[in-house]
Amino acid sequence: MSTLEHEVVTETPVGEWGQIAVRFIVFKKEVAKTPATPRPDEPALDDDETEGAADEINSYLEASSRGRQHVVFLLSGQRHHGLDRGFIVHDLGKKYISKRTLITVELEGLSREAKTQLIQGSRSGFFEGPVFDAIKARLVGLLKRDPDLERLEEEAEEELSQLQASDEAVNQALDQLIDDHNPFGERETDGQGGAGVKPGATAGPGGKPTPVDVVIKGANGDPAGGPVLIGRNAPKTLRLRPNGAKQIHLSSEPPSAWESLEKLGWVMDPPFEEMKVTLDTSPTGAIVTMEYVSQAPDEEYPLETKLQLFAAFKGEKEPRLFEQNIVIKPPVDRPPPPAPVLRDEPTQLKLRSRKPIKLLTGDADRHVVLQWDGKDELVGGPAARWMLRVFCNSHSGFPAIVVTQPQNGRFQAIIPCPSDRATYPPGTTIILQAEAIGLTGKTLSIQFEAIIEEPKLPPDVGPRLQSALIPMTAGRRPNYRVMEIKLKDYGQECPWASAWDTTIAGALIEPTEKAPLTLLINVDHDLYRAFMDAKIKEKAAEATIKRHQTRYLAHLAYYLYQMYMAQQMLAKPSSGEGENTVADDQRSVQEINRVARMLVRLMPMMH
Amino acid sequence: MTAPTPDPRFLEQVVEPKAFLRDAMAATNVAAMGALLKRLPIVSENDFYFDPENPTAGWRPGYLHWVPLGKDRGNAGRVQLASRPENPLAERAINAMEAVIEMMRLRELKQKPNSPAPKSAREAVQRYFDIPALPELARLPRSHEVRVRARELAEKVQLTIEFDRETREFLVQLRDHGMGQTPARIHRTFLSLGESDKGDKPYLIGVFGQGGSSAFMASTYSWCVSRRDPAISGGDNSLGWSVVKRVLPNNHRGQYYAYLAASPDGQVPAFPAAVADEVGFTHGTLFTHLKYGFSGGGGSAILRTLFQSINHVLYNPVMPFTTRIGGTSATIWGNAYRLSTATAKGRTAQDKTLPVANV
Repeated sequence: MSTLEHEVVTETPVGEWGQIAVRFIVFKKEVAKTPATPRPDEPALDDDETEGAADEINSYLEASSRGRQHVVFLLSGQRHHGLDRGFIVHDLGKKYISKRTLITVELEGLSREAKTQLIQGSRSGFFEGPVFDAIKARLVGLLKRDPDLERLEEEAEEELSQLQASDEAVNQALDQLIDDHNPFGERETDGQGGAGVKPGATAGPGGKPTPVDVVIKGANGDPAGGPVLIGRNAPKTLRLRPNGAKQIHLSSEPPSAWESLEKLGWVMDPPFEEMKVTLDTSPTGAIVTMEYVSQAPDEEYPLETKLQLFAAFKGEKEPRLFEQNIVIKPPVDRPPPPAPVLRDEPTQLKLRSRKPIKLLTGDADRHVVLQWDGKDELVGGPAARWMLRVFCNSHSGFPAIVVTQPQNGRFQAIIPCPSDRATYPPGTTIILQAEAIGLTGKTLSIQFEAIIEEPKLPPDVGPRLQSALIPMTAGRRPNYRVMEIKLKDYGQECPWASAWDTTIAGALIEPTEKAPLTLLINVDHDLYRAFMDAKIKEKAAEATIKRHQTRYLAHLAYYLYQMYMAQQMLAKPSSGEGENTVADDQRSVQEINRVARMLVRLMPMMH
Repeated sequence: MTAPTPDPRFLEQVVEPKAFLRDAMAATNVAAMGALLKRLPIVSENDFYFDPENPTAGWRPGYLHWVPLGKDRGNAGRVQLASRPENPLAERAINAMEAVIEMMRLRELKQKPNSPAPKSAREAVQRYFDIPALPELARLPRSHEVRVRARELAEKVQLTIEFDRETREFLVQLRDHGMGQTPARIHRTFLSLGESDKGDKPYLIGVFGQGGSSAFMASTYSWCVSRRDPAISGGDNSLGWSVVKRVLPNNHRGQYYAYLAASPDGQVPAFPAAVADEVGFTHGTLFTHLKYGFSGGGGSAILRTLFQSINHVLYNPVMPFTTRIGGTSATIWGNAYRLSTATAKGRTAQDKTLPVANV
């Protein structure tokens, strides 16, 4: 079966330098370890043989020792230059799908001037000057806001959140290790509670809320002064799946006020016992993790609640409040939509995106979805019998609009957002026309409007005094989480390798705006599993086994934490060369495996 | 001073051309090539200082001399340009594709002198071989016929890579059945640096005219043999050849790359057309690079990764070509084609370009 999840094929102009052809491919996640190449005793592959899905992307990349180039630039079909996945992570903001993404950029359509500025006599890559910068900027404009890619990124992130969190004993032991050994680590916000005390839980649903005046960021209530609590990535309503977790990043406005935070707590209304809320504070904010664990039947959903987060700041009389609406609902198991009926002689062309199209001044390109009922192969390639185009009818100088190759009849018009406010002031209506033109002269045509808008400014809200129920409490937790990788997770992408398997003891994911530092421990790592199996075989006491388990997991997590801290101390200013090289990844795997081996050896001697 | 034209027969008094050619083509390691060179009358690089202002100075008639590529003793900087050993292979393969395209273009001009030039290499391949850009094959109705045609075309460029377990040496051969060069032109083309007229030909690919030369830096010896396509030879059907190596002469601080020349003007040795016919070398060019310097592990490990590397370096070649790596033959279509077959709607993904090497 084809193992591609998503593909964008299009051409796009690069200012005065000509055109580039871009192909953006996202492979499906690996499902199993199967050989990508045939066995030696098999006959040579013929036209109809199937390639294994697993490791497929690796067969399109250079060997890891030569640097994995996920972005390649071609001239006359020859790869002249490449970028590693750091471009996909940092410039396109697609961290979670970066390892299964390939971008090829054909530069044949560039002007001679542009090509001569790029090619060096040494052929050791392009000259990374103005032309190259323009190409990179165009790729960002083209792909950064692609709704399909954003959806894939979100799905990949959500899958990560489905991993099972480690148990409380491990978290406590890890807290203790960090506190004991890292005098410069994150400190608690109020000194309350020992290592492993669940932040916020002491004053959560069990407490008795009291009505008090609070300050909230909003438009209602009496104007007030001082800092407010904000949720940086918080949606209006957070949708949570049963047995799933989500996070929001809590901080203050102004950010500097966070330093004077004294207390942090939460309450849920109505409360759900199955809901676990943790607050991981750091010097700049707090990660709020909401996890709902329940085996209740689907009929009991949806459940609705509200999470109220409170903070006390030094010198401020009223506590600060942030409210997050939550809906808990299982995923709807919708059958896949029926395949569209595609014809040799298409009869219709439709706009699928919501009208009117909004073009935000100076923003990344807007991807507008269109659909026709012609077969995909009618467009593009040597057998093309139709042409698809979208152009502006109202403004002659409007930038060129490119369209992607259709897939199942669906294609995108990629509309640049003009940054010239004089020509395109906010409120300007742009008339766009999409056409499908056949060789016979038959034409399908639709017109639609786009409106120029200023990028949305933050709503005009400020600190407001309101009345609310508040449990005053404290929170404390270094800004990390520990997740377990099990056999069932094998085949999923590992941050330091193409996929998890029994040979990788652990890995880490650096914190993002949406997630704290994530320490991943492979609880089915071969050495650890063999050790635990031996303990079970020798009929060790359950408490002993549990102690070994906790010790191993906490120490390994602690070592990962140290690796992250060391990385941060050694980190150089971003060079755009990617977050980690393959060599770094390999070294990291070797290092954590070394530590795992050492721990397994030492465990019988640790008391 | 006008340099004398080489007398191709002087070598025939020393070696038997047919036997020599056969031995040279069969030389797959440095020792064999060294033995072959000992059979030739060659002035040592320590005894001949090539002066481009006065090329006949010190020249000994009846001997072959090591002459710098591009007649420049400071050529190392222009040869040693590759950052990885796979890159020169791509350059060589592209040169070979160009030789095939140019042969067709010259044949066309012979038939229709006013025929306009193709605007690009892809257009040339479409015009002369009726083969579209390779990624489009998957979307083409009745693509099987085109694929068969493309495989036939792929045979015109053959890349062979072998690893000799005894000598621990890699052999790289690039054979094209393209236009070839007459002996009088070989030193102005393959053995020159930057003397390219490709810039005037939009249907060719290279520009700098020295890309393939980077293969010399990766090899201990490079054996080059070429013969013009009879249809466009202008009457000279003889076969020219030479050997290239890196030299470190005693009286020179630096290093440079030199080839065996038969005359002070730089022309290479030649054998008559009849000899070429006898060994079956009809036309085209063969480069053999001995003790090629791949990196990254043992021979078998390197051979296994080469298919992948070549598909990556030549991501979307203008035409397919044939490889024989570690005894396994395959057609290289490039990653762009492979991705297209994976995305073709209603079809399963395919991969015909990464066979397991029998190494």
